[in-house]
Amino acid sequence: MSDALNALTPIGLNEVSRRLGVDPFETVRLLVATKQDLSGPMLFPAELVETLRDQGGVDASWWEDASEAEPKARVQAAIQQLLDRGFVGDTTTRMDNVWRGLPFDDQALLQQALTTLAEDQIVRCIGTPIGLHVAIDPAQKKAAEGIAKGTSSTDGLDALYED
Amino acid sequence: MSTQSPPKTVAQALEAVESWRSEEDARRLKELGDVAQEIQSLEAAMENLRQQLEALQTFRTDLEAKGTELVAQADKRTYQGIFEVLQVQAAAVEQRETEGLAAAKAKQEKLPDLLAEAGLGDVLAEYEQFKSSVEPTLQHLPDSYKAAMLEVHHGQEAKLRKAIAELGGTPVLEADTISADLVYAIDAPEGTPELLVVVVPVADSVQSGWVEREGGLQTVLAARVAEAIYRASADVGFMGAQALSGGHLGLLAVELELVGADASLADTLRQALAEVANAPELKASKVDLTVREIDMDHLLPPEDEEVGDE
Repeated sequence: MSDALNALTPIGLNEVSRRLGVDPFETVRLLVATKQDLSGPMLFPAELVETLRDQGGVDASWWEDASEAEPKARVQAAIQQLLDRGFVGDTTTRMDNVWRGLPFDDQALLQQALTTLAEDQIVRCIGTPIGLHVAIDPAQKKAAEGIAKGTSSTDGLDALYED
Repeated sequence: MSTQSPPKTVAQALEAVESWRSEEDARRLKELGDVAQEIQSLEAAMENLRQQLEALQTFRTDLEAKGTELVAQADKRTYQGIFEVLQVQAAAVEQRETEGLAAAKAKQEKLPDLLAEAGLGDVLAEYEQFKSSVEPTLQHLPDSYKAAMLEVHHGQEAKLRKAIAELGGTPVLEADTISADLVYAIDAPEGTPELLVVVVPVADSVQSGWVEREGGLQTVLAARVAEAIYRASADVGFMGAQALSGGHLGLLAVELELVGADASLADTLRQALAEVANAPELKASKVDLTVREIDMDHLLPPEDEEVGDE
């Protein structure tokens, strides 16, 4: 098929998810949240990807260098990204924005790291119709800065680094 | 009446008494022996009965314990039976997906011819010409010219999209209908629903390996479950809903924590999950899906309550 015909042909859920860089279940959540008509087969115009990206707050990868990194360094850098981008308090971002574009192991690591930091109330995880959001707890900004600089840590993070 | 003549002397009287005493004592001793023997026999019988009683009590305890064990064994057998069937069904769904993808590919390859047959061959050619030759030059045109050209182009594009959706959509397979079950359980140990677990008759790699997968029936079946979960959650305003997926015995399991959700979510989820059976992809692939709520112990046995391979 020609490129033009390909561009006009609807794409499936996995292709939409690949273009977004979002897990298919999260893509489905976005489809529901943005009230897309899902009564027909799950085939979508390619243009829908941009709609979902905009309405879902899906960022391009934050990571210029996605190559392998030590777990601690990766977590430090992720917390620094949240601080640098101002995701503190009520200014939140999609949780998967933090790890999009990283190798699979690093994605899992950051997911676990943010979960353990949420248990320690250093970050807040907020459920929203478009997906799980995250931000640094303003009362714990100093602690987050310490983690980002590597001058402090938590038991949960230390256990994670040992795994 | 005694026939003996009465004693005539004191010695005879004493002898008679002694004789009587001897006879009576002998009788007494004999009866004493009989009673002792009878007591021994009864004691032996009682010991025997006691042993029988103990044996029966032990048997009763065993039977009572067996009742509890039977329930556990029945749960285990039910669980094994369900998953054995689901694994067979998942293999059939996977095969059906392969057939569906092949049919979709064949349909796509025929698309240019089908468009031509529908009288849209020229429209497609113009569209391609516009994309390759005209569109790159649009920036040099005055806005009014550009707007006019784009209006025509968008009209052609709409025609083609509509035709492609109709001609190249999900193919309806010419195949026998296969059956599959979508099973789920809602755990409510304290009466309030706490956890939803759904087992989808597809391989767990459908979700864990989605990046490399083309998609197809298995992907869509899993996605329809996610749709049901998020639609139901949205309907009751449960914003914190987070569907987690993982593998259980090679099958895709999906979990949703219900703690903190409105009490009506459980019923809303039941209705939404029932709708999965009506997904158009299932009809096109000739899959007859039964959605069934089962006991949590039959989905995840008590000793294995975690969704594994997360």
